[in-house]
Amino acid sequence: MNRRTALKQLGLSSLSLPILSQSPTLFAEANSKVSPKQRLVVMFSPNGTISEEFWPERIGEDFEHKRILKPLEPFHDKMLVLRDLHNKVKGDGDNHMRGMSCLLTGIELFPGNVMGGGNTPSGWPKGISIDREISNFFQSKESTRTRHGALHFGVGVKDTSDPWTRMSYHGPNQPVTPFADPYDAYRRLYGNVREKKKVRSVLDDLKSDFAKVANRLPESDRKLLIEHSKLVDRMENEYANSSSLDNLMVKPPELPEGILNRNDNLPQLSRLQIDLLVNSFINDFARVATLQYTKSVGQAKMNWLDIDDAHHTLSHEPDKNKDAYEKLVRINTWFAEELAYLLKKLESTPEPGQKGSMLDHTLVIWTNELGKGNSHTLDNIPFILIGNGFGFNMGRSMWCENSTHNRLLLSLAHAVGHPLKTFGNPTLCKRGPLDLS
Amino acid sequence: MKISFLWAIFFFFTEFGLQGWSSPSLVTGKSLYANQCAECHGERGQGVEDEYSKPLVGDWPLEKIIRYVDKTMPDYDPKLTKGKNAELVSKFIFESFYQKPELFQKDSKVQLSRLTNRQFRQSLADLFSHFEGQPKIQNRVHGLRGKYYNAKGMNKKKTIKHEQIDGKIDFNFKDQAPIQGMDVKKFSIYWEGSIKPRETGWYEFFVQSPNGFSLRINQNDSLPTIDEKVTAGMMREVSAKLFLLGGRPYPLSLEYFKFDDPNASIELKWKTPLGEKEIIPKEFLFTEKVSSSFITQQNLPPDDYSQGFERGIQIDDTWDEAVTFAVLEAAEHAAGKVSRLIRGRENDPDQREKVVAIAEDFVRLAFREKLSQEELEWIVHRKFNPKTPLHTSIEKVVLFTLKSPRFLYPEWQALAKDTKDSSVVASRLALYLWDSLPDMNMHDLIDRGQFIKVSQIEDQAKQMTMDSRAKAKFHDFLLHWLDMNAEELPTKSTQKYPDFSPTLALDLRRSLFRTIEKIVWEKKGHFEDFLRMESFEFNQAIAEYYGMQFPKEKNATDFVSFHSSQIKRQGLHTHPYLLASHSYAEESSPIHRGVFVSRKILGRTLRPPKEAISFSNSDFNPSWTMRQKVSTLTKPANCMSCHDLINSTGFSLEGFDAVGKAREEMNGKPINLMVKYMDEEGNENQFHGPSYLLDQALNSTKPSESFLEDLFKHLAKQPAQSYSNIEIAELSKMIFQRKINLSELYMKLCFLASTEGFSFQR
Repeated sequence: MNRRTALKQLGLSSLSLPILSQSPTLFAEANSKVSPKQRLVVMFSPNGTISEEFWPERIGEDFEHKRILKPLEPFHDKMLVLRDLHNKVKGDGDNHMRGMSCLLTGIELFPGNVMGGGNTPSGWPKGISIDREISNFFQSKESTRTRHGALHFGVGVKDTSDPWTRMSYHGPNQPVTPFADPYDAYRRLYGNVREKKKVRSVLDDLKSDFAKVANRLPESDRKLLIEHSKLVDRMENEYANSSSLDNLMVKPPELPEGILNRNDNLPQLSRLQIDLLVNSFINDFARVATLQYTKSVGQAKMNWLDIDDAHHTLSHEPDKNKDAYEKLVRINTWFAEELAYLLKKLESTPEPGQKGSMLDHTLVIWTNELGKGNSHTLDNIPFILIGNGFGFNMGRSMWCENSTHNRLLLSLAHAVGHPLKTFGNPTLCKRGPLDLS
Repeated sequence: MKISFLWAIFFFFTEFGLQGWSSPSLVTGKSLYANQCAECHGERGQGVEDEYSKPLVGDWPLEKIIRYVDKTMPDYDPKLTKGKNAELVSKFIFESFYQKPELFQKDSKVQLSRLTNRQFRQSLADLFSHFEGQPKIQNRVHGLRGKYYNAKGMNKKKTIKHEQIDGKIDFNFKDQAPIQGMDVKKFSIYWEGSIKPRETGWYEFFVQSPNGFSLRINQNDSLPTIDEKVTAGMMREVSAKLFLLGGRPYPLSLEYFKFDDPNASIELKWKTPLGEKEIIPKEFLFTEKVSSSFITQQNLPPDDYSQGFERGIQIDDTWDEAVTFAVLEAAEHAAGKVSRLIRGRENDPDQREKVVAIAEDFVRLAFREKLSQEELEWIVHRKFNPKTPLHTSIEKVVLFTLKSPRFLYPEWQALAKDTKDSSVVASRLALYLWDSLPDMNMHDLIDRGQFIKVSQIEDQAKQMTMDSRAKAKFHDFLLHWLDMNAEELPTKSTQKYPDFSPTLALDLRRSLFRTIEKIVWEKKGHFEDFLRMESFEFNQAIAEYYGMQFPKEKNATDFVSFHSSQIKRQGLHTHPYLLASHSYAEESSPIHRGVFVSRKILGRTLRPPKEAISFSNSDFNPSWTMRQKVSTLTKPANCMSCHDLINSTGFSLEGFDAVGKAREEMNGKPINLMVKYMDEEGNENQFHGPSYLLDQALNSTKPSESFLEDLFKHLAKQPAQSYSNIEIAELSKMIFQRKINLSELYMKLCFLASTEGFSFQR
C-alpha cells in the first residue's frame, strides 16, 4: 500500500496533506518535554526611536516609563531595558543596511552590489542570525523539537528582497523571507482549511446547478453528470469535517476574509499576525518567532494615527521639527501598543501542560535597526526584553557599559543552554555574554 | 434500433434469401466458416472476447484474404483450410461482412463530456484574457529589446546610453562595458519583450550571472519570477519553474545590473518540457511585449486516451480535487486583479457597479451564453452583499462559475437544446478550433443577430482559423499524429553516433515543425504538399550534420529552406527527425518506420500484433543487414499477415541509417531497396525506395481519409460518425483533387461539426 492509498483509507485526501506531512510531533508523547519551555520572539520596528521619549533616565528597578514605553508599564516587573548597547559591526553597507542585516547576525555584510544612501555597496551578511541559531539548536534535540522550529511573521513587509528588508538568515547569503500575508501564514500552519471553507460556501449553489443542468439534458446524457454531482456531495462531507485540526491544542484563529496586504490595513494585519503567532505557540508549532514591521527605511503612512507622512521620511527630520517629532513619538508608541497586545495575549494564556503563563516561558525582544533616525546612528540600539522565559533578572533597566550587541546575542544562546564562545564577528564578542542575571 | 433493423435484414438474406438460390459456393463457404472460423471470429464475424475480439472487417483484397487463410488459418491447424476451401471461406467472409463495417458499428452520437485538460487550461486563460488583454504579437520581430544604462549611486538608470535588439541573452562582458563609451564599473541593462514557447508543459528558466538580476515571466504586476538583485559578485545560477501553454506569448523582462563587481556576464536559459537546457533561442523571443495570461499551475491527471484522442469522460475524486485547486487559484487571481483595479476607491458605488458588470461578463463568457435576469440574480448579484468586500464577492462568483457544470461541460447546451441556436454554434466553434470558449466579439455578434447566416458564421470561422490558438491546436494534433507525444527526444549510441547530441535532436524536431508550419500556414499548402514536403527547414548544425553546405551569409541558428532534391529527401517520411525517432539507438528500425508509414502516410489499417515479439539485435548474426534480421524475425505466417505490409514499407526506408543519414550499404553489404508492395486493392507493385511510397500515397484517397478521421477526432473529441454532416469520403476526395488546402480543411471540419443541426437563416 502506498502513502496515497493509506491516506485515502484514513479518509484524508491531499487537501489535508499539508497538515499531516508537517506534523511529526502531532502524536508524540506529551510528557516527554518536562523541562520548562523556552521561547524567543524578536519584534522589529524601523527607522530609530526618539531617545528622549524612549529611554528611562533611572537605572535599576524603579525606572520610569516615558511616553513611548508607557503602554508597557503593566509589564514593568517583567521588563529589562538595556542601555548603552551598540551595534559595532563595521564594513560595507549603509547604516540602515548594517542596522538591519547585522542586527541579529552580528557579522559584516559581504561586499556586493546594493548601493545605499552612503558608505560602500554591500550584499547579504556573512553569517546566520541568532533566532535561526537558537531554533537550530532547539530542533537538534528531541525534547525541544517542533514542527516548524521558527516562524517569521511580517506586517507590511514589501516584496523586495534586499539587506534593508531581511533580518533573519539561515546562514551566509541566505535570507529568510517572512510571511507578509497572514493568509499565507495560515495556509502554512493549518493547511487548506480556509480554501475548503471557501469551496463549501458555494456547494449549495453548485448542487442546485447540477440538478438544473441535469434536468435539461436527455435522460441518456445524464450519467456523467450524476457521477460528478456525487463528487460534490463527497466534497461537502469531507470538507465539512476538518479532521486535520482535531489534534490541535487550540483551533486556529478565525481569520476575517478579504483583508488585503496594504498600508491602510496594517493595524488589522498586525493583530492577525500576532494572533497567529500566539496560536502557533500554544500548538507548539515553533519555539522561535520574529515579527517584523515594514522594513528598515520603511515608509508606512500611518493614517490611522492621522499621520499622512511616510515613516522613514519623517525620521530624517531634525529634532527641532516638533511636528515630525510628535508624529514619530506617536508612531513608536503605536508599535509599543502592538507589543503590549502580544504580551497581554501571552500573559493571559496559561502555558499548556506547564506552570505559569506563556509569558513566563517566553522572552520577547523589541528592537530597531537604528538608535536614532535623523542621525542614522548604530549606537544605543533599542533592546527592550520582556518575559521570564530566559531566566534573566527582569523588572529593571540596566547600563551595559558600552557593550557590543554581539554580547547580548551570546547571552541569548547561553540562556537556552547553548554556550557559544562567540557569535557573529568574534572580535566583537570580547568579555563574553552580558551578565543579565 | 438502427442496428437491430440492419441485422434483421442481414439475417433474412443469409438465412432464407441468399441461401435458397445464390451460388452454392456461398453455402459451402458458410458451413466451412461455421465449422472452422466461428469459434474465434463469431458466427457473424463480430469477434469473440478473449479469442479474436474485433470484427472481421478490413481493406484487404480478396486475393490476399485467400492467400492468408490458405497459409495461416485456422491458426490451431492451418492445414484444415487449403486451396479451394480457403477460397470458398474467404469469399464468404469477403461478401458477407468483411466489406461492411457498418454492420458492426455501434449507434453513435455526440457524448456529453467534460473539458479535457487542454480545453480547461485554454478556456481559463482566454476567459481571463478578456479582462487583462488577449496576448497577441502583431509585430513579429524576434529577440528582446535591450536598454543599456549607466548607473550612479542608487540610481541604476542614470543615463540611457544605447538601445538594441538582442536575439538571445548570452553575454560575457568580462571586465569591459557592454558598449563602448559606457561606464565599465556601474551599468544596467533592461531587456523586455515576449516569449512564445511551442510546447505545453513545465518550463524551467535559469539565469546565470555574477551580477544583480531579476526575471519576470508572465508576471506584469506581481512578484518577480526570480529575484537576485543582491550579490557579492559571485557567479550563481538561479532557476524557477512555470507551467506554460504552447503557442501563446507571455511577457518577459529581465533587469540586470553591475555595481563594482569585477566581472559581468549573463545567460538566460530554459529547459523545455523535452528536457534540454539551452540558451533560449531567438525564434521563441519577440520584441513586442504582450499582456500576461492566467495559466493555472495546477497539475491535472491525464485524460482518457483509450481511443487515440483525449476525451473528458473520466470523473473521479483526483480530477475533481485537481480542478478545485485550479479553480481556487483562478478565484484568488481574480480577487487580486479586482482589488488592484479598484484600489483606493473601494467604497465608491460606481466601482461596485463596475465590478458587478465584470462578474456578469465573466459568467457569460464562462457559460458560453447570455444569462437570464433570474439566473444572473442568483449566480452573480446575490454574492455581492454590501458587507462583503468586492474582491471577496468576485472570488465567490469565480469559484462557483468555474466549478459549475455549465462551464465544465462545454457541449451540454448542444445536447439539451432540440433546436441548436447561435450560442451552441459559437461555443462549438471555439471548442473545436481552439479548445477554448467564444470571445466577447462572438457574443456581440450573437446579440446583434449577426451569427445566423452561412456567410456570417463562415467568416468568423475563417478569422478564428488564422488565430494563433488554432495553430496551437493544430500543432497539438500533429504531435499526436506524428507519434511525438512522448516528451522525449530520440537518443543515439554515443559510440556509433557521437555527434548526434540532444541539441541536434531538438534542432531536428524544430526543423520538422517549422517545415510543417510553413507549408500549412504560410504557403497555405494542401495535404499533398504536406506529404510531399518539397523543402526542408534546416539550421547550420543540421545542414552540416547531414552533409549540406549552409549559406555563409546566414546566421548559424537561422533556419533556411533546402529543396528536397538538393538534399535527396522524398517526402515527409524522409525527414531526419522522423527517421531518427523511428530507429533504435544503433540501428534503423524498419518495423517502426513501416508501421508509421503504413498507418499515417499510406492510411492503411494495421491490427496490433497478436503476440508481442520484441526485436533484439544481439539475437542475430552481426554481419546481417537490418532487412535480413527483420525478415527472419517476422517469417512466421501469422506475423506476415501484417508484416508483409510493414516490412515492405519499412525496407523502402533502409537507405537511411539510425540518425536518418543517407546510406548505400550496411556492414559492407549494399542496401537492397527493392520490395513487393501490395496495395489495398490487391495489386502487387515493385517499389524501389521512398519516392515510390510517396507516389503510392499521392495516388490514393486512403491517406487523406485516415488523416481526416484522426484530425476530426482530435478537434471534436468525438468520432466523425457522431456527426451526420461530416462525409469523410467526400471530403477526402476534395483533398485528393486539391480543392481544399489544410488550413481550409481544418476550418471546414470545425465549421461543419459546429453547425450540425443548426438552421441557417438565408
